[in-house]
Amino acid sequence: MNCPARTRSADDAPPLEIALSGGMTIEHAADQARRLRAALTHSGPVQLDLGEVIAIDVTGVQLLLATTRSLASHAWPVTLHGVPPAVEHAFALLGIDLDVVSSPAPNVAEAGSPR
Amino acid sequence: MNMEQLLQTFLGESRDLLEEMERHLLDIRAGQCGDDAVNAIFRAAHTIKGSGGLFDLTELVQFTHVVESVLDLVRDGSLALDHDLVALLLACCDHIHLLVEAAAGAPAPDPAQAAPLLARLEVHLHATHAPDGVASADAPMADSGLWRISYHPHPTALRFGNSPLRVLRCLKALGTLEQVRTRTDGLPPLELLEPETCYLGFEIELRTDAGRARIEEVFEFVRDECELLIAPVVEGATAAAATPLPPPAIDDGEPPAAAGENGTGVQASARGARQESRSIRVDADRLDRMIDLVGELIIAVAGSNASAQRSGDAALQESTSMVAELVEQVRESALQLRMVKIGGTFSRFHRVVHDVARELGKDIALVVSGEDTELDKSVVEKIADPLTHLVRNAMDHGIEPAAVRRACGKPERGTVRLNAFHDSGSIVIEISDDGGGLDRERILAKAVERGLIDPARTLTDAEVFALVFEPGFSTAEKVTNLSGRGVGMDVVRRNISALRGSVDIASRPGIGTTISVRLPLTLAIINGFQVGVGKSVFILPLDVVEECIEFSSGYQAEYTDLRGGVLPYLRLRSAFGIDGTPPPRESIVVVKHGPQRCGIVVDQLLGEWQTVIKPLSSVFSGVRGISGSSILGSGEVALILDVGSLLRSDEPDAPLAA
Repeated sequence: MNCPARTRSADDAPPLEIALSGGMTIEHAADQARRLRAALTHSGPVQLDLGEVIAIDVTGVQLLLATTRSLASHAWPVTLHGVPPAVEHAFALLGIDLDVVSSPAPNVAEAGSPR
Repeated sequence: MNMEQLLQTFLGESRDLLEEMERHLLDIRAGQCGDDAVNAIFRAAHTIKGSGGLFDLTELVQFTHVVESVLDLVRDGSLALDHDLVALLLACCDHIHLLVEAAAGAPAPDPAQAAPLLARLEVHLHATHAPDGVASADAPMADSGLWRISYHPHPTALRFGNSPLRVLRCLKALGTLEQVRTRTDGLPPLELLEPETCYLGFEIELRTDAGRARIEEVFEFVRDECELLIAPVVEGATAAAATPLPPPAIDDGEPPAAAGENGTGVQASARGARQESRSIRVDADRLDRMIDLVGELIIAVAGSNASAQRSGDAALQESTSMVAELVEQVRESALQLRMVKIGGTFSRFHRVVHDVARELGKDIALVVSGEDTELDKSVVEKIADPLTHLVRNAMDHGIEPAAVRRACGKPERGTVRLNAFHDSGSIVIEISDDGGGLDRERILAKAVERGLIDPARTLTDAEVFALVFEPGFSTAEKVTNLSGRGVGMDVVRRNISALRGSVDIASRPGIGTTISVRLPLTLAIINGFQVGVGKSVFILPLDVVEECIEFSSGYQAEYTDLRGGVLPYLRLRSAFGIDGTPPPRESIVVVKHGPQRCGIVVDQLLGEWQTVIKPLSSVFSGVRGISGSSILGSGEVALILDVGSLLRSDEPDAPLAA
C-alpha cells in the first residue's frame, strides 16, 4: 500500500458509515457522488454499506474506485459492507477484485484478473 | 440528450427497422433474394436487440436474440430461408413490434404469445446445431481463437447511453473472456470526478469462434463513442508481438496506436470510421410548429405589402417585395421538409397483400410503382387506412378465385397494382386489379332497389361506379371478415374528402378495376390564384389553373368556345348566390381537374398569392365547392374553392353555399 508520510491510527476517529441505496447508475450518479464526497470531510476510516444498492454501472464503479483512491491518499481505509450480487458481478466482469477496492493498491489498472 | 429522448429515438428507429425487416422478408419470399437482404434483416434485428439492451428491455432483448441467432444461421448458409421460415420471421417481426410498442407505453403482449414462436425458432437452431452439421467444420480458421480488444469509451460515452458493462456482457456471450483489465489511469480523485464522465478503459482478451464480424457488431452502437482496436492474437508468437497495446491517455483524444505491424488491427475510431450522417430526425411537432409560423409570416408579409402599396413609398415597396420573395423561398423549403416519399406507405402493402392472400387462399402479387412520388407527411399518415381498405377490397372482390381466372384464360396469379404520380398539383394514387371488374348492372339494380337512384335516369359508368361509395352499399354475395359488409367504402370516401381529395373508379368487365385517389400535395400552404366576385374574394389552387380568357357576355348556354373546343363553364356569382350585377367585362378562369376541364366565370382576376390554408369549421363541413379559407393581407377572409366538387356539381348554376 502506498502510505503517505503522516501516520494515523484507525482509532483516531470512529469510522464514518455511508449507506448507499438504489441505483449506482448514471441517472443517480450525481446524487451518489454527493453522498460519497461526505467521506472526504471525515478524518478517519470509512465504511460503505452497499446493502441497499440494486444496480450499478460504470459510473458507480468509478465512484467507488475514486472514493477509495481519494481516501487512500490520506491513508484512511475504506471497507465495503453488504456488497450485493449486482456489484459483485459488475466488478467481476471488469476484472477488478473487490478486495482491492477495500484495501486500495496504488494502481488498480494493473489489477485485472483472468476471467 | 436524456434517457427519455434516447428512448424516443430508439422507438422511432426500431419501427423503421421492423418495416425494413418486413420488406426484405417479403422480397425474399417473392424470390428477390440476396445476401444483402439477409444481412440487412440480421443487422436490423441486431440493432433492435442492442439498443433494447440500453433500456433494460429484457423481454425484447431475449426474444430478438433468438431471432438473431436463427438469422445468423441463415447468413452463414447453415439454414435455408424457405417460405415457412419467412412466415415465422414475419410473425416474429410482429411480436418484436408489440414489444417495442410496449416500451412506448402500449400494453405489454402476453409472454405466452412468444412461446410458440420461440419453440419454432429453437427447432431451427437445434436442427443446425446437430453433430453432423457442417457449419462449424467449415468455419474459417482465421476467424477463430483469441482476440485482443482495446476498448476506450470517450469521456462523454456514458451520457449517450453507452454501457461498457453491457458491451462486456455481449462479448462474454460470444465465448470466454480470458482476461479483462480495466484501466483506471485517467480516474481522478473523488473531489475532481465528474460523475457522468467515463474515465475507464478496457483491455480485453476474448476467446471465441464467432469471428471478427460478430465481435465488431457488439460495438456497433458504441463505435462513434469510443476508440476501438480489435486484433487476433497469434498464439505462440514472440513476446514482442504479444505485448499489450499501449494505453491511451483518457484525455488526449488521440486514438491508440495501430495494432501491430502486420496490419491486422481494425481502427474503428469515431473520427476514422464514422460516416457522416446525411439526415437527422426531427420531431414532427416541431416541423408543424414551423409550418404554422411560416403561414403566419406569409399573412403578415401580405399585410406589409398591402401597406407599402398604399404608402406609395417606392423604397419600402421594393424592400417588402424582397422580403416576400424570401418568405416564398422559406415556405417552399419548409414544406419540402415535410414531404415524404409514398414508397414508405406502399411498402407496408407487401405485408398486407401477403397476409390477405394467404387468408383468402388466393395467389396475388403486388406490383408497386411511383414510390418516389412525394407528398406531405400529414397527408401520407391519413391515407394509409383508406388505401388498406381499397387494397383489401380489390383482393377480396376484385381478383377472382383461381378456377374462375383459369376459365377466363387469365393467369392464376392475380395482380394488384399501386401506382402514384403527380398531376396538376395533386398526387394521384391508383389501386388497380386485374380481376373481374365491377358489375355495372348489378350495382344499378341494387341502387334502384335501395331507392338511391331514379330507375328512369341514365347514368354514366363513373356515376354508377360511384354508387359503391354510398353508405351501406354492397353487392357482395357473401360477406367475409375482410369486406363485403358495405361498411367501409363510404368511410374511405369520407376520409379522402376530409383531405380535400377525391376518388374515382374506372372498371371494365373481365379486365379489372382502377380506383384513383386524388389528393392535394399539402394541407398547409398553396400557391393560390385570387379571383373576385362582387366584394368576395375566392382562391383557386394555382396548379389547377390553366389559363384566363375574356368572357364574351351574351352566352346563355352553359358552355363556350375555346379555340374550337367546347368549354363548359359555371358562373361563380350564381354558384354561390352572390347579389349584384356583373361588371361589363368578366373573365373565365380555365381550370383542370383530372381529365375534366371547365371554365369559372368571375368578375375580376386578382393574381397569384401564397395562400395559407385555414381549415373550415365543422359547421361548413357539408358545404360543397369550398375546401378551406385563408386570411388575406387586408385581414379579410377568402374562401378556397374546391374545384373537384365544383366540377362534380350536377347543376352548375345552382347555389352551392348559402
